[in-house]
Amino acid sequence: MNADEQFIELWNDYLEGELDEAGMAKLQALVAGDERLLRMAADSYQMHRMLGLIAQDSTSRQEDFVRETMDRLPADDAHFIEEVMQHLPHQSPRKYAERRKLGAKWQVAVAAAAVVGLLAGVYFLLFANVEPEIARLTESSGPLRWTGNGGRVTHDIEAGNWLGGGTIESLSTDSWGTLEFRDGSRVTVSGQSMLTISEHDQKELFLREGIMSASISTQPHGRHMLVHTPTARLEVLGTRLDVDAGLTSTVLRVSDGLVRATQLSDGSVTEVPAGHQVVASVGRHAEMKITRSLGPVVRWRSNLPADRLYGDWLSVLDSSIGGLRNAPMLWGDPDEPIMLYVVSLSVSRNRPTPVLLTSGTRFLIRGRIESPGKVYFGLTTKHVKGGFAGKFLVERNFEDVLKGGKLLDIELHLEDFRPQEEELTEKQPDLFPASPVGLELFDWWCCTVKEDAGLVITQVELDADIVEPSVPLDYRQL
Amino acid sequence: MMTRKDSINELSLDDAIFSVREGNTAAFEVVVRQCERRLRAWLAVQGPPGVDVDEVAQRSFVAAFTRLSDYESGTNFATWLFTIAHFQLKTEMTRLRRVADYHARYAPDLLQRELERRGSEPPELQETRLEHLQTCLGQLGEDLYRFIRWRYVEEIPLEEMAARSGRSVAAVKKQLWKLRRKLHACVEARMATEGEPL
Repeated sequence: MNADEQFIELWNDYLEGELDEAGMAKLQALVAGDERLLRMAADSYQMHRMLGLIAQDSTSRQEDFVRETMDRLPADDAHFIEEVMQHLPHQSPRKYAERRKLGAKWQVAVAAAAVVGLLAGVYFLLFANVEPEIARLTESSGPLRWTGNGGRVTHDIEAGNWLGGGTIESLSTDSWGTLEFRDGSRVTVSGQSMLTISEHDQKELFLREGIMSASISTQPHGRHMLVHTPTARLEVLGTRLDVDAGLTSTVLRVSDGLVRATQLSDGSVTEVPAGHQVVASVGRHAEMKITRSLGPVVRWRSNLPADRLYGDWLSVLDSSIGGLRNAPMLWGDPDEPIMLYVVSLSVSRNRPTPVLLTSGTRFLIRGRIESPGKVYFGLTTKHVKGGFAGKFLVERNFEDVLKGGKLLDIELHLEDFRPQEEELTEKQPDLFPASPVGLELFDWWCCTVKEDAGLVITQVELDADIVEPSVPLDYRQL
Repeated sequence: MMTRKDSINELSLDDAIFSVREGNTAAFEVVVRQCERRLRAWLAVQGPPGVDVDEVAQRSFVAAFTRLSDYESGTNFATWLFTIAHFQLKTEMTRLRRVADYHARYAPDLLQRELERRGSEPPELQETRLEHLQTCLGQLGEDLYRFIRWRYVEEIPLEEMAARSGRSVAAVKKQLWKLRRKLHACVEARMATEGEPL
């Protein structure tokens, strides 16, 4: 073997990390005596590094690099001072007056102590209270509350904000928010829902109550994403799923991939593949049975009070029937809240079949309204393949009310509903369609703003002209 | 509707630097986005084995941010940034040299010196090389490109590459060596004839 061949073999071993100390010494000796070999080694090394750089080059890698770099920048002065000031105790004028009586020497001591305290606070802020950002709020609507960074509560989170571990609450029937993790996994909470997110060794979500739709990127081997609800634990590899969690039951629907579900009440475990669903509950004889997701229905009738999400149940409203009366709900800025009066029903929680919204469908609503005013009617929808699809609204003005508590019938055409966030529809029509036609109905609600109109709903019905639905392609693919 | 982030990212480099100096930290993202690729490319080829390119690049950006008041408007920002990066790289190399068995494990001493000698090249050239390399890779046939894909994208072991290609491990190593040489020649030929791509 000549010197060139020996060099090539040693150099290749070096680049592959397979060269031992003796080999390294030989390589050094070879290149030391030959300028040409040294140049070849440097050329090869630089090419090796550039190939590595190109192979790793991707948009997500660039995004990670930019984000990590921005995270490492020292906080700007204004923000820094504001943070420090928030951690200083507020002083009353009386205390201030007492302090003025102190001698100069004592004041110096107090000042020194204050500096030490301030520095300790600064240290705490800079080093003890820093949490890595794990997800970004990409879209939202309506009031959300975020609790994170050591328990700090904020109501003014907005799309684009990066968040560390913490709890996001969707506070109103018409509110929702989508979080996107660094690996592209997207999770949407909607309606009155409470979700805690964390990411240490693996992603963990805690859905205390409410609706969550998720599209999860493939997770690293052995580090499944975990979703905890009051009644179930779900291990998610990479999939699309919808979860509707209450205090006593959790409905899981898997559109894509595989989810391992554990019913907490008895520890039973089942694997839920694409196109299947399971209900985990806390009943004494609750059995977690996996069932194939059924084809959609296009007609639906409420079942009150079982479907109640929000509102006060009146058991006897009109001789034999009960009704769901609107209940107050604070909305928006907690310093200047707006009072809504809300009735909300779940469409999906107690039904094995999805309800598909089709063209020409009408909502027939029976209820009572005690005083005239504007009533907003809303829908929460999801895509047939899984994933939150937005909320839709329509309003009706009731100028005349029926006296004597008589029930009235309201008819709403599906085509009259418009997207709640039209800007999002313009920007991302695939995610947030302009029409609810072709989407699945998750929940239904109505409300009045500021005025309690005494709204009572006894029944909601989705009435479609088509009795046997033609099954959309998306269902056949499930 | 355009978000605040969108509008920030539409700033020119000069406007972004001005904005950062006015106290808008978020505008520094524009600086990072516009400079990160060429900075990482330069560090990748200048840094000896064992240097964490992303770490040094991030330290360079942080140092540039904190010293932005030293930067003279109207001069070449990239040159100023690379001066900082050069210093950061030297600091990292000093740290590595002090690691007891660094040379035994990572770096033939002469290679390091040769890389340092090449460090006098204008940093922008490395980004140009990177772009030419992408063109050269596109000209490789699948029978050759698959070795690059296996080694650098899929990062599979040599034994697996040998099994997939039906060759010996030694033959695979030789193939990789030849490919690097071929790509180097292609890139340098393009540098000589075309210079900087449009």
